[in-house]
Amino acid sequence: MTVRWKFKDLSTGTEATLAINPNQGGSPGVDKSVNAVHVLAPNRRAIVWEGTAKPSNMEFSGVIITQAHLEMLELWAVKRTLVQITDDLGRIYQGVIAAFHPTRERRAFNYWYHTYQMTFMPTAMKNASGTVVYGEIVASV
Amino acid sequence: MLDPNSQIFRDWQDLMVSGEFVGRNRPVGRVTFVEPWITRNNSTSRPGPWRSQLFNPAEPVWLENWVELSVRSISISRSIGQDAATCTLSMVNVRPGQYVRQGIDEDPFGVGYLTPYRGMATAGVSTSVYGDEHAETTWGYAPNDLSNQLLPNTLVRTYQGYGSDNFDENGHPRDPSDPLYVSPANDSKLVLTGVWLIDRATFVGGTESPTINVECRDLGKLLIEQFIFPKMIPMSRFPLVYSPIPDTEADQNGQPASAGRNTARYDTSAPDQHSYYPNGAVSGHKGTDAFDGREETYWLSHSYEHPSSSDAYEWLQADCDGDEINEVYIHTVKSGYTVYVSVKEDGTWKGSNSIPYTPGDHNHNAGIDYVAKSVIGSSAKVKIKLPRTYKAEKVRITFHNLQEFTGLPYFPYRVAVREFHCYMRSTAIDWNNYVFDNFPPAAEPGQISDWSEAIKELCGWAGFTWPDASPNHADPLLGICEATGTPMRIWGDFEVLGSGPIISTPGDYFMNKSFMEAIRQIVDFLGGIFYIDHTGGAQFRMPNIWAPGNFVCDVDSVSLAARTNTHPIEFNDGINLLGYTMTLDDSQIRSEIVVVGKDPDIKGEGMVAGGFKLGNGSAIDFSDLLNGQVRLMMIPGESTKNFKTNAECAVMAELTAVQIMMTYRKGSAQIIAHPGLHIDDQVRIFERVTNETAIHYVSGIESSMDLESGEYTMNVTTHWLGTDAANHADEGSWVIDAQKLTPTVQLLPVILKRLAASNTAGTGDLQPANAKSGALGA
Repeated sequence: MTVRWKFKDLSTGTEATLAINPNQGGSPGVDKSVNAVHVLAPNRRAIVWEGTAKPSNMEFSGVIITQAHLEMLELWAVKRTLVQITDDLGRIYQGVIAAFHPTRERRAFNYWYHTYQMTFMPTAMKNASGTVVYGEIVASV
Repeated sequence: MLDPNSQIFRDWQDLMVSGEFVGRNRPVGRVTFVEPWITRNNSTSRPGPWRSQLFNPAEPVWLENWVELSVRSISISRSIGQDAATCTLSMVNVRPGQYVRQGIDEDPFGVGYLTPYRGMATAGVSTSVYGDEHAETTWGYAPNDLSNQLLPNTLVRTYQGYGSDNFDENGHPRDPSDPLYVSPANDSKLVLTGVWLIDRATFVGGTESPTINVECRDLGKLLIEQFIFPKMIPMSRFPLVYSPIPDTEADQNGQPASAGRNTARYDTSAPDQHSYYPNGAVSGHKGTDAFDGREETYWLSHSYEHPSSSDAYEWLQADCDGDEINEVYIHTVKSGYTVYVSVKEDGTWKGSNSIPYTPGDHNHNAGIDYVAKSVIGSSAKVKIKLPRTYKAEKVRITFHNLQEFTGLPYFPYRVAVREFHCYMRSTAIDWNNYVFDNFPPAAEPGQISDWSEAIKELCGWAGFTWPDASPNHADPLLGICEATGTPMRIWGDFEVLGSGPIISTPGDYFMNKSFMEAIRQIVDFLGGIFYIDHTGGAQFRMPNIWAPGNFVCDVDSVSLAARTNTHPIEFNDGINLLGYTMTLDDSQIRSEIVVVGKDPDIKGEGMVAGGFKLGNGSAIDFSDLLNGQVRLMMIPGESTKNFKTNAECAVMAELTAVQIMMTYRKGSAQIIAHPGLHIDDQVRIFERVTNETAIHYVSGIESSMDLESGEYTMNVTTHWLGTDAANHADEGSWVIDAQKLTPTVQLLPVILKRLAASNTAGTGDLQPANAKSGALGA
């Protein structure tokens, strides 16, 4: 049985389930701020610095085939609240939806067919094993 | 520089070699903000008020350690000759915290959290005239603990280094709410790099880029912005005048001699040998009463039945902490005592004769060797010259022929001492053309033996007073705090130069001047340097150019204010040197310098002027470079209106030549930041293209720490000094040939000490400090 992605508004407790899971993306990476310079001598020895870790976006994309699915994503995208996403692997992300870009594509028998890209900026992540990878997982109201 | 033997310094040295400033060793900068307040105290010795910017007992701690997580970059610029160092902080205007989410509408703590007056309603205005329902006067925000702190004159401390004790197991900084949180001040991986006062804070509006730019100056701001006038200085001291201590006593050459700083403080006494507690009172009189600078109080000995019995030797002992002395001053109650002076140096009492003491029913341990003996005459005051200069650890005065004191219990014969001083008397300056003015009455405030005392006093009035210097002894200039009874000192190090005023300064000399202008006026004609260090302390001394080595100043170290003859910090093109340029510039070079004194009579024979020729045979020689060009620098009388002797003018000319020397061969280095490096340090540079292997003087450091990229670098301005101060046979090996200094300069006590330091060059041992006259734990 397919496990659907769930969105949860942490300020109100409202929940929504995606009609169709994204078909691409959905795992945030790690972006560190590492820079290198070299000294003057001919050996060009490298000096490596590390700065503040940058927040890493999670991008995912998929298809929309129903009016309800599109409008649900539109409503969640404009929220300026903290959102929790639970994916089909049981991973939990908390953060904000940073971007939503739907693209309508012609389909003779489905006027609501879209593809979309969504960018989510997680501020906290708990992996499928239940370990908080970074940030602080807060409970909803 | 910081103590090269400390663990943190050694860790930095290892990091320089590895080049891996990542992970747990990544650059870290932390900042704290403290609400400022200047406290005022009066002292027992001199009228105040003595002001303290630091050491505020009401200093709130709740703000410390919070704002640090909002800081994105720290830039510090500090240089010799700069009145105040500057610090610029780039911050994000959000609620600090590692895991706090920002910019989300429902979060009442979101952006703008650090903006002053946030959450405070504006009276009389409720809504926008445009009917914008969101334009509320508080925007729904509640006041918070941090919103009124980024205001001008908030006290800021910056802590920087590599790594942090505050990292969790994954290398993330802990939140202040974490029980294992380590505050910046307790972080052993970081060092204090500056104490600042905010000048200007710029807040950027809008939620897209809520940033704050904070511009600060160090505590030199107190000296720059405050002026010398009654209220800042005691009314009784206005107009501010400094005069020599009246002393017409002549040395063996018939020249007046100047007394240095009293270095004695109470150590122990004969009564203490069988007292239950140290410094016990005898009929209400304690040993410390002979060291408090007050003639009305005195130490009283135990009593004897006979004045000259073989056990009737009472003694009082001072701790001089290894300072150089060659004279003691004793002022007693009554006269006629025989007094022996004993000096302990290198752990032994010096002298070939012993005090003929025989213990009575208990032993006072009075039978030690002595170096001088005298009789206290009818004036009850005596100055005793010692056979030579001693690095005295202890000085003991032992009295015999005790005098009768009536009205006291037990036996009648005792000794009482009002004051006991130990000091260095100098005759180094050529006083041939000494001009005497009318001195004010003796013992008046404003009479000084060394210009460092004037600088110290100015700093104390402006806000550098250390109101409770326990367990250190009080600075004689300040004495005891009237309100708390604690010993007071000035927060800083002030090197005793051995050069004080020859005549009284004119009444308008310091008029309409800021404290900094007055200090600069003194510092510049002495050829010294003055700056505020990383701890917020004032530093006054001769520049560190006379001998190879470095001062070590580390408030947490036992080697405080000591000196090492090594150069632990290198700029090496294969290790830590990221860029280097060397410049040769003759624009300031002169062949001779003439300094004109006050009111020179150009028609008379006795024109007051002195000069210095930079040529063959002089300590600083540019004759090869100028190829016969004659370039004269003339310093007019207007700027030296206090000079009345040719000797003074010549000293200034030679010290000016030293400054000119520093302008010729300069370096500009970009290095990986070394937090242990300070201005007035010496470093060694190795760079193959510019053929650099020499020792350089550091006159300026601009550090830049970008916490987002992790880059932490320093741009350092340097001046070539040479390689070997001791070996002058190799011409050009050191920029100043000290052996060729004119005697007037060479014999200045401070120069003598600096040159003596070079005799132990290469040992790497920490030597006793030259600059320990100040307050930093000395």
